[in-house]
Amino acid sequence: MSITRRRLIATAGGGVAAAGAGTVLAACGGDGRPERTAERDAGLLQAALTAEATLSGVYDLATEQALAPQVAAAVTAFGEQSREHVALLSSQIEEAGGAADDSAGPLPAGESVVEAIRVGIEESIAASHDVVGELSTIEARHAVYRVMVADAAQLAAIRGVLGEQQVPVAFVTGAPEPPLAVEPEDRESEDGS
Amino acid sequence: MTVPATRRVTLRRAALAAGALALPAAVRPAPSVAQDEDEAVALEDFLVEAIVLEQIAVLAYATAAGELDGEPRLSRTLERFERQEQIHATALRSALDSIGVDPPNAPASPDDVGAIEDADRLDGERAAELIDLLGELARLGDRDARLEYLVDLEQEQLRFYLAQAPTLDAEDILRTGAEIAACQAQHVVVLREALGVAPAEAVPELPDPADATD
Repeated sequence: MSITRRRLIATAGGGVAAAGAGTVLAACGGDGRPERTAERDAGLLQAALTAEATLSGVYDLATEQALAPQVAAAVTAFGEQSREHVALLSSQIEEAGGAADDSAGPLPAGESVVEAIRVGIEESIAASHDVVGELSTIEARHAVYRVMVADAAQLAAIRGVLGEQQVPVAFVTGAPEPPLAVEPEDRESEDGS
Repeated sequence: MTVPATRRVTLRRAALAAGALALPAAVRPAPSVAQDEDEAVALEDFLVEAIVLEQIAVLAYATAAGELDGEPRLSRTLERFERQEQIHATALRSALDSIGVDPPNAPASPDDVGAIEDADRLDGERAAELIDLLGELARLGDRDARLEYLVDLEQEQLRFYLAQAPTLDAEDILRTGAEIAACQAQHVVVLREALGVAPAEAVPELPDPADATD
């Protein structure tokens, strides 16, 4: 009798619920989980920080591009939010006794800068998702929750700009969504605009 | 609550022994039974309130979707959000049931206050707030009022998940709570855009982590 992720997803049912969760499911359960410690937190948070710093770098790059006014406004606002996330994660690493490295990783590729932003957001969400269950302190978890949830909101907005379904799955993991999760009649922006 | 206390205690202890509700035993230095009990109670409280909120959201989306005859695409979107809220509720109900606690009933209508009043683990003040939230659904007027209500409801869920879920120790619940909260945040964006808000301003307001830990 237990609550496991596998059980939660299976009970929720449907391919939509399980979308993108395969990697996580494979990593769940079993013994031998490493001990939760502040020292380990620093390393986990660094992974989330690198992904968020990379996203911030993409936003910086995007601000140099010629974009439609509404898209440019979103890029500016989301870029500022991303820099706040970098500062938040950096402070949590220092709280855990580590030394934060806010260097960006290789910038994601895309057919357009907006698509590169979408990939960067998905990778940042996935990085937060990977670590959020393993952190030892409530403060660190709060920080990662905030980053992941805010990134998810940005993702919905950017998907809308790209004319894609904005909320294709019930459980957001950051993994690219499989095509079957998208209903053909809803491929346009959610509100029909 | 129909599950006898003895069954609940047995199931809770079995789950704790399996390392499923909280951290595996090896992770923590000899936790006391009292600590385990506290964690189990916190988890039950969290799940009950989360389920009540999700079930109000299911009803709210179903009601709103049915009243948007002139906007079929938005209506379909709200129907999809209703299904997503139901998926959340079903997953959380399963989790609560697995530890021997009967999940709260889903409200059948905005005046079905019994669904909330009968939910154990909710304190009186919070139950009254949730009953008000449910009852408000019956007093909404036009399209925008319904969409604004849904935004407020999603924001309420976000406040709850961001404040409460990180305080739990169960790894699976921590991850799943984040996944659900992320979905709620995406709903806010879509709803606000349907209200004419630009993408840059449609993202939800999130509580400051420092406030959440107070």
